[in-house]
Amino acid sequence: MKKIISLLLVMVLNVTLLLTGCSGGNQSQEGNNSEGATAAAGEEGKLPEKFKIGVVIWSTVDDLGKASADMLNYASDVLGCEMVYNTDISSPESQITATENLIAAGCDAVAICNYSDDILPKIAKICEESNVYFTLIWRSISDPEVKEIVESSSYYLGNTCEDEEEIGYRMGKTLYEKGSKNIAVITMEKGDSTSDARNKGFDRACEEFGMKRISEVRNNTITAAETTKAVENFLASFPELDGIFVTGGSNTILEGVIQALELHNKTGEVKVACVDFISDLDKYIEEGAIDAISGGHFVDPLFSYMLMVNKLAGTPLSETCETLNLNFINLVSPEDAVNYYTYVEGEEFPYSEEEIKSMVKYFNSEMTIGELKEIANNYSVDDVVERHSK
Amino acid sequence: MKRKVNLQNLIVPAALPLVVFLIFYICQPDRFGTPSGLLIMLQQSVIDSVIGFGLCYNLVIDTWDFSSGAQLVLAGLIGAFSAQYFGIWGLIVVTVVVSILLGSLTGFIYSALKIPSIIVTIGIMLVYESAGTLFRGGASITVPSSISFLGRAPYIFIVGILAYLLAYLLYHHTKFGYHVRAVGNGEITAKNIGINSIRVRFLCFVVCGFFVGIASLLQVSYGGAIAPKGGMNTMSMVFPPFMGVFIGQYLEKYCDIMIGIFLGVFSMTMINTGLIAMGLPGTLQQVVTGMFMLIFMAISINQDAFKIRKRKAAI
Repeated sequence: MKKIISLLLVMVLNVTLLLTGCSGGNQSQEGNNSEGATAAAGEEGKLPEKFKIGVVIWSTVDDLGKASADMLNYASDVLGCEMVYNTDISSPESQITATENLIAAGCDAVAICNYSDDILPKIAKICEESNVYFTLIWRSISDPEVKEIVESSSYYLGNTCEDEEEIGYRMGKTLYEKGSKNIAVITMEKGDSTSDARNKGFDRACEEFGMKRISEVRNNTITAAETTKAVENFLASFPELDGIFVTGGSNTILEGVIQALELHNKTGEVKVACVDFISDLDKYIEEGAIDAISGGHFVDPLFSYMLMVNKLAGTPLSETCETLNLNFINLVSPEDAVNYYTYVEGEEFPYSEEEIKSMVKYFNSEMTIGELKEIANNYSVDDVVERHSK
Repeated sequence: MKRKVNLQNLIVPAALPLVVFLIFYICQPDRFGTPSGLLIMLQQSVIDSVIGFGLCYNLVIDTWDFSSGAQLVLAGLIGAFSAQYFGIWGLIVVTVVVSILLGSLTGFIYSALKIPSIIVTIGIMLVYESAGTLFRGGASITVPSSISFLGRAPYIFIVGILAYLLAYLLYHHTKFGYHVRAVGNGEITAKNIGINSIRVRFLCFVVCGFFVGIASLLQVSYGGAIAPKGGMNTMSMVFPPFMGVFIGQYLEKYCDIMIGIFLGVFSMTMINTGLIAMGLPGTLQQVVTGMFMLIFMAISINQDAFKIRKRKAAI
């Protein structure tokens, strides 16, 4: 009996190890060990050294996370670098641990999508002690004290961000223009800087246009069924509800909203505005299930990546930390969605191999920080169409 | 005396949901307690109640199962994936079978290792969560509305009622149910009369797996999609059913435990909806829910001690 139990225990442990070793759900994973295998150091057309870049990100399998990881993996294949992702981040504190783990894994630079500003001084200290450069992705530093500390670090190269407050305002304004006055919000818990900024912008729109935030649900781990429940509660408690704003619609949150409205025949009647793209957008927009959606900012990490790669290659674009601003892509019609998925997030990447190389001064001596900022600032569907339809 | 006991059996179970309802109805008569709102709350109570029916068997024998949430998600992911090839029957059969298998594995490990259930089920929860994030690269899966009808009225109620009937019959009218109650009342005594308590514990996980499988397919149908969850976030999915079972155990003196579980879950659902109707910020909703749980448990656990003290004081 004991032998049977021991044997079964060993089998269970082996299966567990096999499952966890096969690929990386919450674990670090090599991003570009695929058919585009990375080149050896010093290979022609690649950087002189195979730099290892780490990314602290919430997920590499949801719509936004996967698109970003694919973009970075492609850029790394082109340049001859290596990507490592750590998605084991359930709280701001765990992001510090994640950064330490990436440094311990040999990363030469780390890009972080931080939940809050509070952890950044600690991260700056860790990176300084380890001589590892770091940047922020999808984030800006709003706390002035933290900003001063982080920007004084010689290992902080800068950040790429979008105007989160502006997009929150724009979503609110669009809902108003669609006729909404009483809006419920599905958002993250307070303390997430992106969500807080989008909420702030939305509240500004409410004040300006006389709309009311009649209810809200705050949950960092909400998925489809919980969202459906939340929307049903809104519908049950607030018959005057005519709009829903989702500050971050990835990970089946937006699908849950659409499902709930469909269940209660409110599709089109209750307007929906959301930040973050999901699949089948053209179908949902055509059916009237989504009235305003912004996203497409999966290329954001690419620009922070370029700051790091240029620095590591010995050709830094700037001696000080830099902020690169990116625009959201707004989709208001099914045609917009079709164009987006054809040109921007389709079979080809929005930046070609030549364009990626041209962002690195090692390959393009004329690249400057001003030019990189301009490339980021110009990002849009029209920009990609213009560049790639030639 | 008999008449008083019968009245008590009707009044006490109904009192909790009634009190909760009245509190919110008085505060927000325009927003809370409308017929459509009540229907929505009843609908929302079904999934947690079905999970509660399954957890009941384990909790009666003092076994904790924190892995049920992860089990639900993993079975739902595999079932939703199967639905893409085999339609509604793929969703139903695969989800339930996978959940039973997962429950059996949990039960086997718990029975074989003989370590506390909290530790085993938390460890298993982490394994199942990881498996969910590894399945198909951790991508979420959407089911078409043509096969997600089970998540809507009246089908969700039909499934819920059938699950209740099954849970009731299994608990009260089978040898297995008798053994569960016997082990719950005293494991040593149960062993002495020839009941294999290890086998009972294992089978409780299997039965729980069945009900979690039903809850999983309802959850997938209800949300229209399912996504993996990590970071021990599936643990929060089992807290409302746990509360339902604790309330059910308290109400067992007056009514069937499974009815008590439903009444407990329904009360918790009314609290959630009522807080939203009152316009409470999202962060405060959880505070109120947590306080309700603490107050209820404090009253129910200390009620007997209070009665004894009162009797002593009277003497």
